[in-house]
Amino acid sequence: MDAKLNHSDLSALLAKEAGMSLVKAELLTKTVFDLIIEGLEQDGIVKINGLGTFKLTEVASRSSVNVNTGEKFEIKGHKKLVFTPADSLKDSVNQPFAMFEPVEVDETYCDESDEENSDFVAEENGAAEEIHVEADDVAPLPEEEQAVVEENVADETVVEEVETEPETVEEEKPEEVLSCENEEVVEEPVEVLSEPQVEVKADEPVEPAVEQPKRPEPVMVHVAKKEKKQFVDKEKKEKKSHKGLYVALSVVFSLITISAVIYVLYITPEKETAIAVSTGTVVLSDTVTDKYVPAVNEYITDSIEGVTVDAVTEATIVDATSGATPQDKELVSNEKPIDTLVQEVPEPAEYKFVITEELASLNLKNITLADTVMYYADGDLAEHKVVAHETLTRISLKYYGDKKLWPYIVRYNSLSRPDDLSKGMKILIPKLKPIN
Amino acid sequence: MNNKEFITKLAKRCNITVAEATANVDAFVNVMTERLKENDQLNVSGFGVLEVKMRKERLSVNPKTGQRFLVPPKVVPTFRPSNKLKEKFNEKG
Repeated sequence: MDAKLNHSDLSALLAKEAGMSLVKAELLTKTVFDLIIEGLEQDGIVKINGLGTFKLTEVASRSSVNVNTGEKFEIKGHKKLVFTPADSLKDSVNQPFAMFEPVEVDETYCDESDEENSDFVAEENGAAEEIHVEADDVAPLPEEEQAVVEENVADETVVEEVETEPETVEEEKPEEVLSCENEEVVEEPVEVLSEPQVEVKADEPVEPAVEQPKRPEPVMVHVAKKEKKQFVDKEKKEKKSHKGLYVALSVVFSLITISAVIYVLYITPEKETAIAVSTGTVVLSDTVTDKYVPAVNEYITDSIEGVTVDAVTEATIVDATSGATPQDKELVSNEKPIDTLVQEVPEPAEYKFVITEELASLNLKNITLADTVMYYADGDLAEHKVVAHETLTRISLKYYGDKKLWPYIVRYNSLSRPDDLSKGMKILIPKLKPIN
Repeated sequence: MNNKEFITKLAKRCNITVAEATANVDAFVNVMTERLKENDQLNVSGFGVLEVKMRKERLSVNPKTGQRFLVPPKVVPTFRPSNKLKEKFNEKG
């Protein structure tokens, strides 16, 4: 074991192994090594079975550099004694490691996984960018266009949920009513067409008709849109990517075409019915079908959720105050591409509060169908005294169990600044009954 | 000089038969092998050193296919000629 054996030790071992005398063994070992040297001198190679091969090889002269001085000098050619062990010797010596064999290494494994991960991240980032861009894309468009887009989305959802022939019919009615009030109507549609917009534009004229009916009070929409537009602009400044733009455009285009198809399909029946609207409020005629109501409500609720608080409040304010402001008229007229039927319909005696559908246009991303019913005010439920730091949503939650119904309170009280309730203020809480 | 010549010469020098010489050489090789297996170092003055060395595992690449192999560690017997022997060979050449 790690011992250094010399000539005599070897002889002793050999004597033991072969059962010969120590003298003989020493002689033998000595002659073995002498013979090897002799053989090397003679032939330059000696083979011994079981041990290996001793061989003299020529080493050519080569130039080298003295490490210390940097001088070049030549290493002269010489002979070198090389020993190649026999296989049997190699194997027996290497026995402890005999079980190992060369293994192919799959060196790319780690690297690939890393790359994949990075790719995934990149993709995710890209997706996020696209989303942002989509938002941006909407921003630059004129307000009306925006409305169109959003409403298109709304239309889509409606279509998905129900076969909505009645819906569309009803939806158009308010628009018509509005148009009755505003005489400009006819001219406006042309404007819409003329405005420079996206390629999609050709399809647009059709849509506005469908969309607008949904909103009885365009003013609110208008304001809300503005708000949103600003918001979007900020986003836009932050992020710009062309890729996202294209995606957004394609989405918009598809939505518009869908809405256009819907409109074409259902436009004829609409003409037959007409609804009257009073200036401040919109009245849904009795013709409103069951299908229509839930759909619209979903729509509305969605919009309410999506809108930022400020936007909502402002919108509602405008809504409440300006029943028939010129702004309102203009908006209505602008958004109306088709002034087909301006019919006068008797105003219903009952006041019905229809949920502001303008809100729907604001944001449809967060869709929750919490309240799917439309309500109208049926007398006073209670009189509420506003406590410090109380908000309309909180009040709504308190009385109705649903914070989304606060617009009814605003409408019922004709509040000018719903976001600024003063302490001690008295508010009438309307008793809400579902339409139908 | 191959093994046969080597055995023959050895028999002559030691005044033994070739068969005996063969047996003796085999026995001698066995002894050395056993010693080397035990990591012993065989110093033969005037000739050199027979010893075993450890080779660590390494990565080798097949230049044709680009495959990479992990070559396992192993123990190899080595021979280191003595300076005396080296000089002897280079005096002539």
